[in-house]
Amino acid sequence: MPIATDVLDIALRVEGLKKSFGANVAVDDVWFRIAKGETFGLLGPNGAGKTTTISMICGLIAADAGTVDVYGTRIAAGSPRGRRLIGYVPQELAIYPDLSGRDNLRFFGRLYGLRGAEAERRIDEVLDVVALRDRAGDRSEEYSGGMKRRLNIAAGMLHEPRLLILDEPTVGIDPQSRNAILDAVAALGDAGLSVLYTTHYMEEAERLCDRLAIMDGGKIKATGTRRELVSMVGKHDVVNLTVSRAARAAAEGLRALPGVRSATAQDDRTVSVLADGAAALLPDIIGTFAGTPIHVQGVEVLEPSLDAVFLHLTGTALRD
Amino acid sequence: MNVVVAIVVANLRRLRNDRTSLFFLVIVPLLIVYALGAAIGGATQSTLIGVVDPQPTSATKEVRTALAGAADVRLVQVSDAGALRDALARRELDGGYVVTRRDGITTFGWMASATSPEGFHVAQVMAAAVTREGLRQRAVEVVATGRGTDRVSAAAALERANAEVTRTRVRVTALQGAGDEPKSVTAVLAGGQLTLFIFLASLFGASNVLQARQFGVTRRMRAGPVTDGLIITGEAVSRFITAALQALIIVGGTVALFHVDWGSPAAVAALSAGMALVGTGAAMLLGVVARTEQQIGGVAMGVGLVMAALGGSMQPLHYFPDAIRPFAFITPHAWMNDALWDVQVNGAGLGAVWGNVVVLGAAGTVLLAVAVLAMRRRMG
Ligand SMILES: Nc1ncnc2c1ncn2[C@@H]1O[C@H](COP(=O)(O)OP(=O)(O)OP(=O)(O)O)[C@@H](O)[C@H]1O
Ligand SMILES: [Mg+2]
Repeated sequence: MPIATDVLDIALRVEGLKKSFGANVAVDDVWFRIAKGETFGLLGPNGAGKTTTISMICGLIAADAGTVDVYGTRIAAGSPRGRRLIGYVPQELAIYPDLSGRDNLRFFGRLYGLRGAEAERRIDEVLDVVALRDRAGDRSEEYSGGMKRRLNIAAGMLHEPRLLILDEPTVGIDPQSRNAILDAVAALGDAGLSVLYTTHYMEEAERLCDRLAIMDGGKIKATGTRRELVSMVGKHDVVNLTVSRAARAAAEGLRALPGVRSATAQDDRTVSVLADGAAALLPDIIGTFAGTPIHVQGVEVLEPSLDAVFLHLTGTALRD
Repeated sequence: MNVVVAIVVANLRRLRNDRTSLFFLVIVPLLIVYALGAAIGGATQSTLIGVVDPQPTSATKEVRTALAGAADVRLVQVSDAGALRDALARRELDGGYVVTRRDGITTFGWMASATSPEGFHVAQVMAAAVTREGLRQRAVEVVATGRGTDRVSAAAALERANAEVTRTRVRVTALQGAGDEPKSVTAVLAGGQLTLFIFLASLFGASNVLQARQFGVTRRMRAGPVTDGLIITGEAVSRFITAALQALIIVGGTVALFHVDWGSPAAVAALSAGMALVGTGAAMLLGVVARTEQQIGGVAMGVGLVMAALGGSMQPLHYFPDAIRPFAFITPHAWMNDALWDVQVNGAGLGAVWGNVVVLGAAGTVLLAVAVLAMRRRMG
């Protein structure tokens, strides 16, 4: 992990951010830093407060408390200062469907002062990065969902920002587009761009991010490299049980077992168990169902992973 | 500045890509001007005369025959004076007369929407017919009473015959004073459509403002190096340019295709700009309060057409009943149409209509200010 020695080596510094919507505290005292050149993941389930945090970082909404600095420049809602440093790829598409991909990019380029030959050169470059060059002349409403998302990303990186913020850029798209996006982000990260990447897909975070923050209920639960986070879970293992029925009731029963830290029904037939020393506990876990109408049909013991970390920190699995 | 230009260019590109909008911006207004011009502006050569004569007598029939004999005149039976007045106001007829009888005197009341050469010609034919019929009646009188009567009786008979003749007279009245006749009916019709379409096109443009919000583009822009003020300016300038483009298309199109004489270009341009500003304010306001495009379509159609009708875009204000005309001026349309009439009919220049331009500008500014406040509230 790069160690920041100078404020200018810190791409993003977020300190004490808070935001409530009425009685609902969406973001609750969030602190983190992203070093220059680092790809940082913000990992959390729906409603964790990721988008709200990003909206404050981009100056889209005013924070109730806290500060945001990008390369030493304070970001404030209503002031254009420092915005050029940021490339923002919103969670929802933000493109004109009735314009071609290229015209959309021309529009966003012009917003940031890019014009003429230089704009066209940059547009060609980003179109190549997101693999949309051959469809650039078509109206974006004729694109597939994944292509639209890729255009959305291209718009965010067009003006060569120094901090790229991507808010769940891969939600709801085909695996091919998803891979294209992940490759593009990885390439940008390798090229030294600082990236803030939010997702609720564990494997994306593991694949892309140098460091991660786990967010839930508006709070950062833990921050660190993957290795650091996993070591927090220590010797806890995740056991996924496939049961014949009533996973909820099964989880209920398992929670009473000594050594079981948590047990959660993921769906009708899957229970995730976080246990101290799964190997020793397995007979007890399976034994729990003796004499009940619930049959264990499959057992899977997982290596400590971010899934386990998440389960450990929040008591819930990271799912939709 | 980048931001404003970016938004305007994007909006114009969107317009270019939108076939439906282009159809409504170019084809529809010109088609309507053409159709109206063809229907009313009259390729018909004969003069249409309305006749209100509920109880014809031999004398009134004689006048009618004389008029019908005039080669370029066609007579149309009309039920009463009110209906005749309406038909004249709608320019369905070129003139007409009402036969009334009071105290034994028959009066031919001539009406025309304006004094025109055709009107004078018809009135002359009518007067001649009335005189001829009078002479005929006098002769009949003389012959009937002149056989074997004394001078005193003959003089008395002649006296009576004379009195009979003077009982029929022609009175020429015009609904409007002289000088109000448009040089070209098509120009006046096109003027009304110019007003209507600048406003209507603006209102429909409100969907661009709504869409920028719905597409997430407005929010995305706000993450960039821009201020809310610049975003709003960009959208407003886009609306204004679209409205001005609509004006240019109608004026340019009607000049090129139908050779319409619009009068002073400066006056027409200033009035169009004033109306475009009103349209801009209205579009921005509608764009920020509307939730769906259907709402915008409904409001644009409803408000756009009702205001156009009330403001004299469908029927010139000059033909409005006096009691209603003042109410027309609650619409911006009336201020523009009123001034356009002056420009097209009386040859007025910018100097004569600047007051109306100021009223339009002020109305547009107020609307725009309200819209900007509403937008800032929504964004903040
Ligand atoms: N404009 C708003 N008005 C009211 N509540 C809001 C608003 N925006 C977000 N919230 C609330 O704040 C909380 C956090 O929402 P946020 O969108 O930041 O979550 P998220 O982590 O981005 O979730 P997701 O993965 O679904 O995108 C939620 O409870 C949400 O309902
Ligand atoms: Mg979100």
